[in-house]
Amino acid sequence: MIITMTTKHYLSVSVCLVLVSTSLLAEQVELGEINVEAHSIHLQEDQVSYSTSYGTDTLANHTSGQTLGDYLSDQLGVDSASYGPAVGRPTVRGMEGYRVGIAQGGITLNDLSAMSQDHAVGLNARMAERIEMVKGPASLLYGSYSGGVIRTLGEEHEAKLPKKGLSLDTSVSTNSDTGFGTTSIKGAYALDEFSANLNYYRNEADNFQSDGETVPHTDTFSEQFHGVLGWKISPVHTLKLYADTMDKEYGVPNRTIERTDIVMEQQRYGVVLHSESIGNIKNVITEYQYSDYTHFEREGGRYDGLFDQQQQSLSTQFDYKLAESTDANFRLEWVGNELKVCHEHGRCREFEDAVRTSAEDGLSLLNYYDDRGIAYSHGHPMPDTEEQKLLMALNVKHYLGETDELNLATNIVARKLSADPKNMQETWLMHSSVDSDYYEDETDVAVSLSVGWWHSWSEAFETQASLAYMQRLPSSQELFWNGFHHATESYILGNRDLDKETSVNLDVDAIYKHSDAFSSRLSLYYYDFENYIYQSPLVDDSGVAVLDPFHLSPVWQIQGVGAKIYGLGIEEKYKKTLGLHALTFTAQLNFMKGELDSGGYIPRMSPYNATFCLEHDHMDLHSEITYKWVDKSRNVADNETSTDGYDMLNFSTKYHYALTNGSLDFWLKANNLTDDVAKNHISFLKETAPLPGRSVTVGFDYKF
Amino acid sequence: MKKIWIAGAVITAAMMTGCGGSSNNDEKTAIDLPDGKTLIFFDNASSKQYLYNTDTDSPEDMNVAGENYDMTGKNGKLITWNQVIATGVDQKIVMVDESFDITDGNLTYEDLHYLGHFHEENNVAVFAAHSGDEFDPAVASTKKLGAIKAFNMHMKEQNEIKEEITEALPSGETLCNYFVLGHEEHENHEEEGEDHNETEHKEEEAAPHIALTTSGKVYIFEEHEEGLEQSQSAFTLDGVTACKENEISIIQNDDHGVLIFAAQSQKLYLADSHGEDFHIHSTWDADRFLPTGFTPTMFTGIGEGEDDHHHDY
Repeated sequence: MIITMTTKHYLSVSVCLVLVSTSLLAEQVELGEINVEAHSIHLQEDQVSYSTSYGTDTLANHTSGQTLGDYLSDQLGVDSASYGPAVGRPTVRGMEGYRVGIAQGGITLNDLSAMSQDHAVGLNARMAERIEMVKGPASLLYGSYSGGVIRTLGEEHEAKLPKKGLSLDTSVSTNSDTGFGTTSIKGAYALDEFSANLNYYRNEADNFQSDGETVPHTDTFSEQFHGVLGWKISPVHTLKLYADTMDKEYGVPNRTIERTDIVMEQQRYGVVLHSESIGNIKNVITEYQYSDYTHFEREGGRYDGLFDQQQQSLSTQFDYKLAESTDANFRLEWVGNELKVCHEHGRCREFEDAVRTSAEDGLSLLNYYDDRGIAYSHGHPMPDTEEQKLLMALNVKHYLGETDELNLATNIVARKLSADPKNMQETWLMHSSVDSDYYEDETDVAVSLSVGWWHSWSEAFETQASLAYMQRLPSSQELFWNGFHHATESYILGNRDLDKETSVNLDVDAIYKHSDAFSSRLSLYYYDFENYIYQSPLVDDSGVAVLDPFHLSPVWQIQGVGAKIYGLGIEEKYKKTLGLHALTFTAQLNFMKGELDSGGYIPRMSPYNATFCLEHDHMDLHSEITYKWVDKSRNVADNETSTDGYDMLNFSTKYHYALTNGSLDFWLKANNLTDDVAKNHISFLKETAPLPGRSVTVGFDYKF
Repeated sequence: MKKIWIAGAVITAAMMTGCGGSSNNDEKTAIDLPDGKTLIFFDNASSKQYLYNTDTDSPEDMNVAGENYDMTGKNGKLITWNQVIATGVDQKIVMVDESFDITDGNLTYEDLHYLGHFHEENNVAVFAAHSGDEFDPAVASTKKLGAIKAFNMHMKEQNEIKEEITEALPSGETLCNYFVLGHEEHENHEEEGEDHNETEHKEEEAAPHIALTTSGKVYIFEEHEEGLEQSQSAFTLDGVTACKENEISIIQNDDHGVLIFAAQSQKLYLADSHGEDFHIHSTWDADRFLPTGFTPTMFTGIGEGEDDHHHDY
């Protein structure tokens, strides 16, 4: 990576700016109030809920990274499936990839992060206004995801216009290890009937260090603009238009000698109509979005891979009161998306249609199938695909007094999947004698159901349980991919005959308030999959890993098997106030296990871990020290690399400087103070991409 | 007012930190042909002939009046001859007349249009050629006559290999063209009278024989005690349905693979092995790097193998 600004320069700019700002504001200093709740993400409301919402400012205070996974990894049962610092898809209660939904508002995020571990999530978490984790019956409104849905909400998802006048929320920081830093600016101007928002985000980091050594290809760059225009059409109708553009470029710290990197682009345009009520239906949100996602995969500067997905979505959702004690949420969505994949050495700057001659289709592939029993291909790994999906979801809530709430939710997805192999080299087409209907259209339906029961046993004790039968349609990649994947250095063998992923999921959450200052939270989950779709190393009859004949890379087959994932999360929280000092101690424990019905474990399950956090607030100074213990990987899958345990000690402090009409915060975060070598077991790159070593980040936030 | 100042300062800072932009575009050329190669493409129909240097990515018209290698108005066949000499392998390009039967192995100066090679001038590789007339026994030096003799011996050896491959092909397949990777190195060792250890001997035995059949299939054979044996699944070249000897050319790229040019598809293929099986590693459309309208029928080329060519995928 060619770096054009030095860390020193960046720091000097930031420090100068802070000094200028401070001097300008000095005469407006006021003593602030003790505000514990505003700082802490461990201090969730003392209740259990299917939906938990966080302001991104709050999450940003705690995160040690910039990915969505980093932002949420403090939450009970949440981890980040990192693939270097640029990539971190959240895993929730052991669910990864397609089993965790990521939505912008209600629309499934148009990216390919669920497809492969090296693909970054197509958004920068900092750009959202709020991030919401939805699970149980409530999550079925947005799709059928065993791990629930993570919703990022922007200004366009707010039914109201921003507060009148000009407002600005900005944050600038720099990191001692990677240099450069992050800039986030959220500006808004609103009148009575109109508003305009413009958000800007930029993050740039050079390679980080671990164990005193620079980890190559861990650099990352991301830039995003997000603009929203609002128009209050009437007292009950508000229209929001939005446009978003994101560029991201990051190294992939894999084993290849030459540099592997990914260049990602995304544009989104949409319109949201918020209607407070239309007749008897309330909170109507209707949204149309068009988005275009592209990323290039390069090795040694050659364009070896290209992915493009265009998506259109039209959705509407609303609330309806069925009876005095019964509410319903309804959502309907149509999604159309077209996915194109190019994977050929040096030829993927653009998509091309393959040459067609009189030669027999799939001849080379057939030869491999005949010789080795596997239809190996060295062409483009999958055909162009087009999906048309219709999603209908209903969540009915029935209240029994103030102590019980019953939920019944369903999600029905009908999908037509079409494959067009015009991009595939004819010699690598699926031969008709191997699979005669490989490229034929497919129509399928997935139905998911969930029932939930919330009960307040007393003022001190609440529980919430949900039982769900989930069906997930396999993705086009899981069905069609047959070929090498450069970034992961593996040969992925999809399965055209995959059946729907089905599972019965039980989630139980409870909170017990011992006193106003002390509470305990418990999460139990047990997911029983009849057909758990995952990638596992292919082995021969002797148990030896199968390598592909072209690159001698491990072959990972996508298969559906019986499996169980279960776990337990415990959070203990204790608050103590001593005069002007407020202390909060939080302890989290996470245990989970993933087992295959046939014996053995599911790969990349999070090791047992515990986090202890002590927060201290005094006047306008907030500090916290967090220690996370991660056990060595104990339940590893066959042929999976195990990882050692590690300790992560972080410290952060923040000074809140109240202004007449705003605030200025100065903060410092010191991560991995012991400079421990931390290998993330749930990452595919656990060996080559450890978590960052010791670093210090300083920054300031200014708001008015 | 102060808020505006602060906002301005913040935006200024953001813009300053925003300088530099995305700077990871350390890209190679769009063509990205193997480095260090000089390729000669010849169209037997139009007699057009271009030389292409993969380092400079520039085509050069070779039909320059007065040059020995000017093929204007002539037809011919290109042959790469890696002549084994005392100091190693001397790469030569031989343009013979179209009517010359390469199985004959009895080339005379009348069959020869030119014999070319590269020599360095001011650290630049310059193509130079001797005309066929220079090899007329009436005027030729002993060295030149020796070269003709050595070339004919080379052709005879090639014919022996050809017969061996023909016998090894599956029934119904007819050999169209072939290349033996590492053959010259093996010859060089033999000429130098070097002792062979067992490993070297096995390597020489395993020298991949890359065979193209008239049906457009690529077969890979390895030499074993019992003769040639097919070592992997056969594959085809994208866009090629048939092979004609003078319309598909194969040259060595490096120790691991060959470059194949097919007139039918007008594509250049890199077939190599960096794991186990040979496969088409890269494909280039000829019209992306050759002059518009030029549709060669054959090619040849010389140059160092890319020792640093990474085969990690």
